[in-house]
Amino acid sequence: MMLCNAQYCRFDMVEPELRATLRQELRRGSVVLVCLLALREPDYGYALVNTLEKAGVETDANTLYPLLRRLERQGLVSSEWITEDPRPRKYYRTTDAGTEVAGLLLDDWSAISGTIEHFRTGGNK
Amino acid sequence: MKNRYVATVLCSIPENRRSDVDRELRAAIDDAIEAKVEQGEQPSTAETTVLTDLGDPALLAADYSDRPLYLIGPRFYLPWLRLMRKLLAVIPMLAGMVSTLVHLVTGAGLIEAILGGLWTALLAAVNVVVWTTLGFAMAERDDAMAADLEPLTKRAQWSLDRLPRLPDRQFRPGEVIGSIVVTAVLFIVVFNVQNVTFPFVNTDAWDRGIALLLGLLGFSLLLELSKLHVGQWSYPLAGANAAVNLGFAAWWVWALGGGMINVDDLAAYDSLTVSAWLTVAIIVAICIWDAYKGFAGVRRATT
Repeated sequence: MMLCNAQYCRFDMVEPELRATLRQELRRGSVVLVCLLALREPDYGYALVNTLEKAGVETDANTLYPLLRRLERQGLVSSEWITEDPRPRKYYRTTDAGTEVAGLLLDDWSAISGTIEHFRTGGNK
Repeated sequence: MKNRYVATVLCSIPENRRSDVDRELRAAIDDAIEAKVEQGEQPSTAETTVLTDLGDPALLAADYSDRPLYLIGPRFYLPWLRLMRKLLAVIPMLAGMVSTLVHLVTGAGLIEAILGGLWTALLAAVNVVVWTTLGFAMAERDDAMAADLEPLTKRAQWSLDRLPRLPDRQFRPGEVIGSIVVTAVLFIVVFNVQNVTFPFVNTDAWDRGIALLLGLLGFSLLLELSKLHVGQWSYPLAGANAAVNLGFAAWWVWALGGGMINVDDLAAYDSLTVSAWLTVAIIVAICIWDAYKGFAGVRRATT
């Protein structure tokens, strides 16, 4: 069964609130992976929000800033104040440990995506 | 406005992180305002928009300092609930009983002693709730305390042995013990009224009636005890239950129908006669209902 029958393409069958919650839950874990991958190029908080947005990842600034600090405490990213910009900014960069974790998460990600593809194409029959 | 926002966030962040968060947050807010202005927004409204988007400063501060936004989280909720149930089942009752006793010993009246006991029990219950909740809420925020609570959470850990036994659920121990207490109290009360004289009483039959009632109460006490022991309705138990109920119904019909009451004296008062027979009718109805419940219970127990 294809997911995009006319019947399934109507997105108004589910309450908007429930829809938002489900999508948010699905995305939650991926933000860490996206950050670790994006920060292989050093970047500062506000710029990262924009970078992610341009790449199609909706993140709120008020969740991303604390997340960056958490990753820093966990040793997955490192930070450095750079004062050459028009104003001093804290740049974050993925550490070696962060790269290793990103690799692990990527493996999981592709495993999950493989599983989903398997069932989407009717693999349970 | 920006200063007020940042200050509000900072005041609930651990001191050692403050200056760094301060600098970063300010820079981020300035960047965001600048971007809004470049998009053509007025500087004054741009600040408002940016700060509003950042949301409740208390929320942001909690996120920055990894503080939970709940009193007791999933890790401690069930241990907390179980401990509180256990304590609430015991402590208020004990405290109330002790307080009632103390009241009685120090010469207070019965009503005063009971009210005093109830009040103490209520206070004890409130204290149990407040202190256990406070303890768990603190452990939720303090790793050292959480480690102290570990044995408790371990013991509360779920295993198959903790499943309640199915048949036991027909008689909740609390309910059975409650009716044992009530029956015992009735027994004592009846035992003590045997020497009291009431109007309209058929004095010849009084002692015999009281003895019969005591016998019935004793029998139903045994029945409740065996309920505790057997755990669920069975035909012998339902039969015994029906017999006890039949006995009570018969006793009331006999007693108020002339066995213990002097019906001729009572006949002079219409309202008393009516209420006597109304009492009998209600009691008989209750007895039939209770006897029926036993047999209905057998059917549920065996299916």
